[in-house]
Amino acid sequence: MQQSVKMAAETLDFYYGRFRALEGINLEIPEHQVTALIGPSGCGKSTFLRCLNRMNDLIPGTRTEGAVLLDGVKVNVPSLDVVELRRKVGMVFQKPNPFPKTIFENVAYGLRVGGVTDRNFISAQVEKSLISAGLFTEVKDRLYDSALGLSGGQQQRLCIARAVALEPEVLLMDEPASALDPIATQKIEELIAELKRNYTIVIVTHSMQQAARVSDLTAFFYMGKLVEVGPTEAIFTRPANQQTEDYVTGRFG
Amino acid sequence: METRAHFHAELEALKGRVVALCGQAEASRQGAVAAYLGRDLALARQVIEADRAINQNTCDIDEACLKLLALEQPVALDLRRIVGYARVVINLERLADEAVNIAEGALAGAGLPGDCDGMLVALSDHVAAMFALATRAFVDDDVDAAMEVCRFDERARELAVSAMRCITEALSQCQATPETGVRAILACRSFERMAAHAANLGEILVFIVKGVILSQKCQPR
Repeated sequence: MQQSVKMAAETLDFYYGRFRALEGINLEIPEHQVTALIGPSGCGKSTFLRCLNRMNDLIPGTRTEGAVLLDGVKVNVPSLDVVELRRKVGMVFQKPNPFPKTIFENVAYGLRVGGVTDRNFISAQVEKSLISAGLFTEVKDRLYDSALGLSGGQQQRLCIARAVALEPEVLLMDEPASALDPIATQKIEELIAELKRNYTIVIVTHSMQQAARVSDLTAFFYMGKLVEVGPTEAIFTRPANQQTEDYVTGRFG
Repeated sequence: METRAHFHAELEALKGRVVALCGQAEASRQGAVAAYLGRDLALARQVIEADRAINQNTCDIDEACLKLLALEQPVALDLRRIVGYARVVINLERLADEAVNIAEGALAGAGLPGDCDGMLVALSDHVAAMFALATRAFVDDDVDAAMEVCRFDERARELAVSAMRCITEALSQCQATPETGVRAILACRSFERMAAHAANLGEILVFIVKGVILSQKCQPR
């Protein structure tokens, strides 16, 4: 079945000062699919991920050329409301970063900042988000305890709940399980499989096995260029490009 | 920098073991042919005895493949190599089984009815050439040679059919005893199966190197 394109990069270049970190990236991200970005350190995969919701705007001296599209609309234009973009394109980071607040308030935070005041709505949304993140049954009796008391894996799922509370359309995940133990990693991977029913997911991972397990599409970046993109099954069984083959089989990296 | 040098060294060593098994299977094939054509009973017994070692090596390599799959979680070319090696050894083991069948025919009193000996020798020589080419293709990762082995399989079938027709005619004209004729037909059948296993080696090598499945049983993807 042909998936519709949720986000796309068109001849995207990205510069840190004079250094070109991304070069002519053309990549379509299909809706309700998991797209994994792989490649050695410094290849530009995280930079690309952060271009999708303009997180790189926060870094002085950077600039973008080309286009990033969300539902066909260019998002890397000055007139676009970045806060609104980040509401639609949420992000989960490598290390869990809960706020020093209660579990409930962590999930409700984005809603309150967004101006939502309806207590019933907020409560319902917090519960729904915690259920989506596979955390509700573990924390339902201690919603008003500090989030800092949760385990690392629970904290990361709390961050996912915090992201989905705003009902984004796309979830960006930057190595979401790299700081977690194997069991917590498994839970996050299972969660990704569940979340893709409602969200389009783009994940950066250094674990090729994780990319193989969780993604539908895999894109291999090398030295700022997109070398190959294709169905994950093809990338990990018979990649078309020799560089991809050499990277996934550990012949360089 | 190669990040999986240790694993790749293990993979290379595994290939060496498969190549060694190719050598054992070839020795069995040669011995069986010589025993059958020369009615050499001692040689026939050697071939039958040697099959135990081939079976054991097949099991050992299969287990090594399983271990690498489980522990190294290979992908792409590495994955295809390990899966390919596991398939190769099955074919080598079966090829050696056919050599045993021919050797057993020799023990039972082989004979070549009528003028059919030349045809059986031609079939045997064709199989020998196919297997030698398949082994070379495997050692060198030579896809062209592998494809050629696959193409040679059709000729093997033609030679087998001709030889079997010759034997059948010799039988109908009472130029051979039924026992001799049946053994010769079974030998033909074994050579034909050997050719099919050699062709399988070619197909597997193409799968390993190119990731393409040539088997007629599989639908193109």
